[in-house]
Amino acid sequence: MSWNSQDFFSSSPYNQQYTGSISYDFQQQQQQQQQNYSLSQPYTQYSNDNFIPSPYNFNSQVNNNQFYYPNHYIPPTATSNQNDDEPPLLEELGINFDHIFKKTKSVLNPFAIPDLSIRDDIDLAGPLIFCLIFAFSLLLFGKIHFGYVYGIVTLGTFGMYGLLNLMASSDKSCSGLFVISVLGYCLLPMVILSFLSFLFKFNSFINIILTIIFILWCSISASKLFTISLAMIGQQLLVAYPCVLFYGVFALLTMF
Amino acid sequence: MPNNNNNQQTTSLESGIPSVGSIVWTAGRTRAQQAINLYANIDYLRPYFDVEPKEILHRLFHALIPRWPLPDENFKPELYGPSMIVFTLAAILIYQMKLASHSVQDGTLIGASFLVCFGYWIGSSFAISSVSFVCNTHLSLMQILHINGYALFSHCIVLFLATFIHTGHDHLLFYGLWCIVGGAAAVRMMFVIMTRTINPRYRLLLGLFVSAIHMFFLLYLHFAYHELAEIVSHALNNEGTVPIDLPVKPVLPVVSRLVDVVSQSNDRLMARNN
Repeated sequence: MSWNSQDFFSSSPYNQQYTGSISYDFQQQQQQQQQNYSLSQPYTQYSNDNFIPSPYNFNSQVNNNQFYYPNHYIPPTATSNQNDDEPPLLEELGINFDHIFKKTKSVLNPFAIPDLSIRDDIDLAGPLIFCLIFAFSLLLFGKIHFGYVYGIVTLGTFGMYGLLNLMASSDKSCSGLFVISVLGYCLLPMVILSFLSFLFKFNSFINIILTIIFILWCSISASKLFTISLAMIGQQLLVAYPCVLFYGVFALLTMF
Repeated sequence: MPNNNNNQQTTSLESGIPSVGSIVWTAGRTRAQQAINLYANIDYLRPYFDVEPKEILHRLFHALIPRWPLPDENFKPELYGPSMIVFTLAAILIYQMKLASHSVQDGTLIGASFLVCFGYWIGSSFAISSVSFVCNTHLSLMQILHINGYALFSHCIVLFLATFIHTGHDHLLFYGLWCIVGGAAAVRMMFVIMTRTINPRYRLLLGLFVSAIHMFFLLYLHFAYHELAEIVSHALNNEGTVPIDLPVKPVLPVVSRLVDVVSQSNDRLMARNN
């Protein structure tokens, strides 16, 4: 598998190899351009050296029917609007509320099997919102840790991306955007934990137990989504452990 | 040829033919990509991450049991277990540094922790590999990375227990764990490496070298990042006014008394040394 910088953003098949040319030859290109220009010339010249733009109008007589009559122009039907040709705005922006809702539901219930439609869905709006809410919840504690959240998400994404590509089979590579999407969505329980820690003052022992439960919740959700999408049978535990470490760092940010 | 070059530079602006700079950039990028795909292909590491959870647990368990391996016993190295152990060690170190309020001058706690753990794992593996090459040991670099990584499991256990259990006999507990758990893992690693070395003198030398760096690293991790937390907790416990039942209770609420407490603890240490 050859690595291109574009592979991080889109998964590439295993057998893709770079077969482009190495040296660049000007003279070849110039000759090709000249040939293109020369090829187009016969179409501009037709019988009697008259310029006839369309090959279908091969008729020396003047045909009145060929003239343009404004009344013959039939406008499009009233029922068809310009908006039918264009997709809806949300669809154009790539925001699918149904998928967002299904993915959130899948994260909140870590033991349910996710819907088929969301398995390979990449969405960055949800993760961005969850990361921002988490960072804002830390503001309630007086901690300005936006940079830490960004840095940990970046490092964690690179680490998980490398690990998943190494562990998954070679024909099922995952993209970095998919990793960010899953890790970001599964941050939702951490957001809930952060708000709970602000609202309620627990005993430190209960705090530890609660934190462990929420870390396991995030990790099981993330590993479930990864293993189902990448068809990694029997390796959920192996994928869950790095997720535990990843979300454990977020828990450390909340606790300290 | 020079005339053609001049023509290329003069026509580059007019007809949109790429300039020399962009050609050099494209050619350089292509060569670099080819070199990366040839030498740093991720597929070389793929077989080392093909493991089952049961194998990992089995290897973790046996990494702490000092047993002389059989002569014909060969193991297939893998890198998933050691990588996760090193990440765990880095996480425990970050937690220790947070507790001890350790500060890093140029960088972050996470960066320092990752540097120490990964630097030790890879650096010591290369060092052991070099010495084993001199001693003519039949071990590959991947096998040494594998053994060294699994031996770090003892460090994780010792540091985890030493961080979460704060008793009056902190150092005794740590030294006991250091000897028993750290020693077991060191002996296990030593036996594996010694089995693969033929010359008896080199065997002993390599075994001592490997166990020495293993044990000293654990001592370093404890005393570089844990000491301050122990002094503070000792001092606070002796004061008797602030109950500390669990280590996760932060020392921040007693910041106003911290300066007095630390100075008193320093006085006690000076008295102990004298």
